Amino acid sequence: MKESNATILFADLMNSTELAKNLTLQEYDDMLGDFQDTMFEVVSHHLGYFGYQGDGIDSEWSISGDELRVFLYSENIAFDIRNALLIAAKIKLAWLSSDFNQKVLSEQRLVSRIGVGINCGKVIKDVRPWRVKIGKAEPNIEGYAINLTKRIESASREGNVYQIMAGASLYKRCQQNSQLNVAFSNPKSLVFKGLGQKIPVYEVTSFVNFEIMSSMPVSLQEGLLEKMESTVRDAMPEPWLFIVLLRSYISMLNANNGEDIDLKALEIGQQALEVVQYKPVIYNMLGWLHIYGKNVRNLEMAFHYFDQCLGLQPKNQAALLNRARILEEMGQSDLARHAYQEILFQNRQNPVARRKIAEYQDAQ
Amino acid sequence: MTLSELPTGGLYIDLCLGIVVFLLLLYEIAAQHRTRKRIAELEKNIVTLQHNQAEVFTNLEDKASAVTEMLFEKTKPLASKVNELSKRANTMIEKSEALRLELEDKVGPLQAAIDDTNLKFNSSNDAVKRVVQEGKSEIERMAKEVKGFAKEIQEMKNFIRESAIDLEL
Repeated sequence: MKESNATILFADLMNSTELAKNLTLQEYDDMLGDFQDTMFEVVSHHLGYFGYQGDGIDSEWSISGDELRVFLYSENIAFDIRNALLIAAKIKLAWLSSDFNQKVLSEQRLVSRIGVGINCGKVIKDVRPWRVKIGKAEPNIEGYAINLTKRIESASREGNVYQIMAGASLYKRCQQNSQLNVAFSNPKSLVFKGLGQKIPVYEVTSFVNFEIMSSMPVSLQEGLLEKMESTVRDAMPEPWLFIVLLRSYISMLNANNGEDIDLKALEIGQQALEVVQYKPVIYNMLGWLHIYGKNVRNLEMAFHYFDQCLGLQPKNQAALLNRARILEEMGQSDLARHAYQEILFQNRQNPVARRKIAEYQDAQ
Repeated sequence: MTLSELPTGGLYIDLCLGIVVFLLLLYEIAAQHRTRKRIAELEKNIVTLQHNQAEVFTNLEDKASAVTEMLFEKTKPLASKVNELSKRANTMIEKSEALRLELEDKVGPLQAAIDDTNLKFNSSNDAVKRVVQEGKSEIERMAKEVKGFAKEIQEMKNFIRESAIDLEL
């Protein structure tokens, strides 16, 4: 028996009961087959790509019916949380671009979605004697955190952005680690069956990570961008997809891939402002495009967008930093210095702000 | 037939032809006389030439004898010198033969020493070649490693840049 601090991810197809009722048995089986193949490809590739050994050593996962379970226990919780978030975003993206959903989209019907629940907590691993007797010595993983994560996942139907729900334990750890770059909605207190108290559940409202795209299996990367572009032009686009797509454009811009990519990104960004409820990240992306885009470089516009972000989130570190840089580039040293000091006031450890303030002090 | 009997028309023609024949006879006689005179002159000239030739021959013989005599007189001391030179040449040939034999005796061990040195040089050359080849392979391996390392650094740079962008959004 071994206790571990695990990050647990549960994912399943939303409205699968309804689908099972409306589709023929063969159609339903085809859909499940497509779902399971997609989950297998993404998760197996992801764990290998990020150096997990699998086989119960530092991770374990399984697919059953329309449900995926992933347990990560590498002894580096921040690493496990980041990977759980990446897996969640990647399975959603891969399922949206699957053959099944592309067919649904071509028929202008509502796409099938995946609901995800993630949480952290203690689990216990043990190999049951009966498993050894049947020659399958896989460990059983048990613990309250698992039950809770399953309940959290069931709450994903109530989400309206990513439909990736997190428990309080994961939320707290993300708040302590700004490197994870994830934002959550306000908590919803839900009462779950079998649990006598209200449990806070947080929905992921923004998860900006370039590795969602770059760590996708090569077989799934082909044509993925085009599928995403076509999906965001749909009548009922997925809000989270805008964030992933805009982040992909920014990576392409950074790598100098495509001449007019900034123009396309700006167009999608404007559209995203109407669709995405969590706007600070979109404002920041638009601001970034106006700083680094070759065709759309406009520092005043960039400043405007970062200001909009700060209007919604006055402590947004990214917006504060970018605003200070713009002021510096515009030659407004006093204002820039003030902006850097403001960042240090929020976060004394911010390395960029510390360096800049030191430079200003040396100049004096 | 007499002249009076000749037909009147051809009488003059025959007469003319007779005159021509007569004149030709005269000319021939004159030409023969002149030819004989010339031949006599030529014979006389030939005799003179023969006489002159004999004289020339005599003179030539005298001169040739004189030249031979003179040459003999002149070459007499040369002959002794030629003999002397021939003797010297023989001596030199003998000496060079002795020298050749002496050199052959000395060249034998020298050639063996050169062969030995050559062998040693070839062997060390092969060793150097092997070392150079090994060094080359090592350098190639290191170059590959450096290339891989550069790629890794580039990937790390991209990762850091992209991660920084994530935090700026």
